Amino acid sequence: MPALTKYTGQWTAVQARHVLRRTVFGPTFEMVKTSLTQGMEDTVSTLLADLPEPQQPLKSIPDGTGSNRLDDPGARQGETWVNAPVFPNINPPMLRNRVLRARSKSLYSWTMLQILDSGMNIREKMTLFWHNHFVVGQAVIPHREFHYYSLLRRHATGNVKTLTKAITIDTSMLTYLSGALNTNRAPNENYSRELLELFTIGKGPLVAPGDYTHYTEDDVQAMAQVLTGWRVAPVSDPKTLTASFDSRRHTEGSKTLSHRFGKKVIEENGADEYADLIDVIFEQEECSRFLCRKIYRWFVNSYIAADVEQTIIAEMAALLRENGYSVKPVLRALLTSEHFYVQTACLIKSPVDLIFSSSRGLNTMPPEDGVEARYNHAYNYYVMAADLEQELFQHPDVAGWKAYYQEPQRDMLWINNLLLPKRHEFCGLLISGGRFSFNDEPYSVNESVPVLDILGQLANPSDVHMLIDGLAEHLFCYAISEEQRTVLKELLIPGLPDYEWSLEYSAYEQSPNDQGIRESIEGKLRTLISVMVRMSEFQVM
Amino acid sequence: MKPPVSRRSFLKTAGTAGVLIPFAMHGMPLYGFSPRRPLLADPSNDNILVLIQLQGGNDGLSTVFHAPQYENLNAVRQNILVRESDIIPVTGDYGFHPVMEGMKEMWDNESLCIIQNVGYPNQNRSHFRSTDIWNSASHADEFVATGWLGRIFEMTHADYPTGFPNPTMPHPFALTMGKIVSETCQGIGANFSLSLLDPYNPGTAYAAPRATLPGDCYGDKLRFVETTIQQTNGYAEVIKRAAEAGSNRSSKWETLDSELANKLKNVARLISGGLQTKVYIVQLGGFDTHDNQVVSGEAATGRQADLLRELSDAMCAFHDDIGLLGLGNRVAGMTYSEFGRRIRSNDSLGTDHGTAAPMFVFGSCVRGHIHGDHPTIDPQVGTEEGVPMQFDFRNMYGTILAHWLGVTEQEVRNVVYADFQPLPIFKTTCVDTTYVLNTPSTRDWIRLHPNPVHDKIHVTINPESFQGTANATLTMFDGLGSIVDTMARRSISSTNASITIDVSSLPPGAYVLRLESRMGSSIQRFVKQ
Repeated sequence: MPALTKYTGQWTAVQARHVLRRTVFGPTFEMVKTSLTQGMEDTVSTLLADLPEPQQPLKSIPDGTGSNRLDDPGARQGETWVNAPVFPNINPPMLRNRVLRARSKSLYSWTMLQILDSGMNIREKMTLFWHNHFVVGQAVIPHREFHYYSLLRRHATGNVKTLTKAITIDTSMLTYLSGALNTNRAPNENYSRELLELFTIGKGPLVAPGDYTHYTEDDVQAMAQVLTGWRVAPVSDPKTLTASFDSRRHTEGSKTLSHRFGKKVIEENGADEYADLIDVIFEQEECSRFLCRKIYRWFVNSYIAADVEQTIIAEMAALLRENGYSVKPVLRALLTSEHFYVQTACLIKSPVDLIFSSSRGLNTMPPEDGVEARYNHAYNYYVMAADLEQELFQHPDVAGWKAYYQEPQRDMLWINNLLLPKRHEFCGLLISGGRFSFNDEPYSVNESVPVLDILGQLANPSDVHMLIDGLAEHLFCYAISEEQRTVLKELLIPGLPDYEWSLEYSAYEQSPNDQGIRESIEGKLRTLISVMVRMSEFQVM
Repeated sequence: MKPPVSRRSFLKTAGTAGVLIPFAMHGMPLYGFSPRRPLLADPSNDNILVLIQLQGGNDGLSTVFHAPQYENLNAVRQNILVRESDIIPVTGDYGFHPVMEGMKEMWDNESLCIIQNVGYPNQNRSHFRSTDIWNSASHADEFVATGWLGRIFEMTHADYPTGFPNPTMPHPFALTMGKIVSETCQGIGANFSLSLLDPYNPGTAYAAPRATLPGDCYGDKLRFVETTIQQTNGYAEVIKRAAEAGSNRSSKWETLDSELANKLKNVARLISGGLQTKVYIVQLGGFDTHDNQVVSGEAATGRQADLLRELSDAMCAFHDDIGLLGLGNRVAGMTYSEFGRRIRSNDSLGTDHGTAAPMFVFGSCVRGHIHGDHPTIDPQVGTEEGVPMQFDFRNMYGTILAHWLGVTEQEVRNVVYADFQPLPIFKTTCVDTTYVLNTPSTRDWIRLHPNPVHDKIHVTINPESFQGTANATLTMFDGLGSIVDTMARRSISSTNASITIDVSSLPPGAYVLRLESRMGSSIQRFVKQ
């Protein structure tokens, strides 16, 4: 029996929420409804649909001088800085650094805004997946970061071989893993080692001196030679965002790989030699398995059981190879498989998942009154994720976030005695608004969850049980217990019979503009939801 | 001097100042008067270990110098080598990197022990894999998901985390001074370490309505979250009270504001405040100096210099503080890093991933000496070669456990390293030990000829190396630190202390022979042509 058998069971809100939580950050009530109408196949097609490239990031800080103002010579407020000089000629350098920092901040905010703007689509989740796969450290130059992240987004559900080729000569990567220093006179194996160990094929057990099953130390060196000659122009050079190949710095001649690659010879091919090398690496079956394990861990379960390795991973890998390393067919097969829907929900939410499920997932909208407010709103999400140890554009090291590789805890690393109180704090803030600080900087959550709007999303909000159950279904993976429901009910109608809620609620329905009733209903609901997002069930998806 | 601790003594040394301070400060005990259960098996042992992890792989050859090797170093790493006149003289021919004044001061106070050339066979040059090996104390070719300290805690507390903390065990087993817990403390059921940034505000988790826990992996994750809530809140009070009761006394902190210094300062404060936590872990990242390890032309400055200064200054202030707090005989620290770096520098003013490196152990009970041979540098050394290992890192762990934390030798062998051989790290006046701690010079244990060699190499083993014991292991490594051949457990006596090894089939290159016996270990390098 093929492992990735199609799921043929019922398509209910349970299945819809499951696939949406795994593919979208903070799915909304609306998305669940859409999915229920569409059914599985169309839901997955919607999720995998190609989206147009987003608008470029904008300068969000007001023009002028002073503490909260800044002039960027390449862009006015509301315009994009992407077409401005990479390293503007501003004096003193302190001021230039402020401009660069403002651009970075704009980029990070914009990255969070893409999550909000991409709607019911897998793209941003896959982009973040690649961001955690092809780590480049903090590039310091915002233009580089923009080009790098845009590259990941462009190929998010595309061809991973093509992406690997592009990233190999991306200026952020050439800078981060010393590729730009790798020359015939001074070979530097930093990139070739990570290309094998982390980006393509993975390191197997050491079975003989210098032999890691899938490649050898000699391969690391031979591949470093293949990759010699790439340069990154200085930041003041207009060509600084595109790498160039300098044949004088390239190790001439053919390079022979080890028996692990069938003693394959990479012939001298100048500026195209790196691509030939990547073709050779991707010919190895292990490369497809390595990548599929990582996809599986991201979307399904951080733990891969032995039988899953034999069946699901093997079949995903075969599919990836059959499709010339296009990712989309693999994602489609996985997200429509029986295996995907029978898995119990047992991933600890990443910080980004957590933050968006307690904001966007509860209908919080970014403000519409201007670019600065909109970008600041999104920046909060970036800062919160950073404080919860998922800082975008700044991984702890080249292997990415520990929660995606460190045995045995893996996703449980998102939670410990220090991070859990913070997760609770941020979830509470996102429901009710308020202030927080990070690295001694103050931040403010101004847009809180529109709790009264949420009532309209629930089947029968006048029945206190159905209200709580409706919220629980949206927020959690499984139904809550009778005891939990009783505790939650106490928050709405302390010591009162159930029908009191119906009475209060119908009073609100009849006079929605009565401020007194409205605020008391709103306050009760806000308390209820802010408790629910701090329940342990909310940490899991 | 501290009297030797008698292991398994039933006389509990609970009357030490460290335990009493919170009682005195608050007038009431932290957890009633319930009898305490020890965090490790030995109830009489109240010693504490501070681990300093140097993340990225520290370049040992730019940390500890040996004057006669300077010229050879100049031949292979001239672009990153500090000026000979800038090196801080330490003892004999030994010297420290110019920024390590703090550690020199500790040396002068006989509180710093250096073990040379620590590593493991079949060196793995991946950061992640090698860090896992160091944290788990596994062999290079086995995958162990638990940490070396986690397994030790697990021995006596297999029920953890269920029911912890509790009135008889109110203190955390271990604290990692950062956002993520150290892998060294990973047990089977949970990690024995908590994370701590601000001791005055350890953080409390919202105790929401309890979940029901199904028996599948969803239930496992829920249980994990629930346990974390319980532990967070259970340990927060005891940590906060220790921080409030504790103090810092060293004036050296005043001029320091590094992250490492602030973390170690908190550790000193918590210990002085009566926290009985056995292990503290602090981390210092950035040692992966593939490029710009030094500033061009100013090799005593740059990334590694900044890191070594941060380390040395913070370590010295911590040691000073601990002494002034009257805790000197209870606290010892140790550095570790996933590997050393290559002997030859690269052309980017940096060094690539290598093999062995020196380790530092510090504290009043630590024996102030340098153990092991200084690395011998061949000016013709290959680009791939690292410093060969002399001592297995698990002997460092084992010695810490057996001589400092009151774990038995047999337990160390069972849980950490079956081939455990103790090292002379602690002052015999401080620790109770039946182990032989004499340190014969091991440099001439192995003699090789001819060297370079074409086909057969003759190995002559000095009888001193197997005095009193007949077992010795001879291992051959290649330049990457991988085992080429093991003449395992060969029984060596005066009749067969001379061996001939046929190396004719080996590829040309550098190799190392390592002899290990109960008396110590020794290495010799040879070149196959």
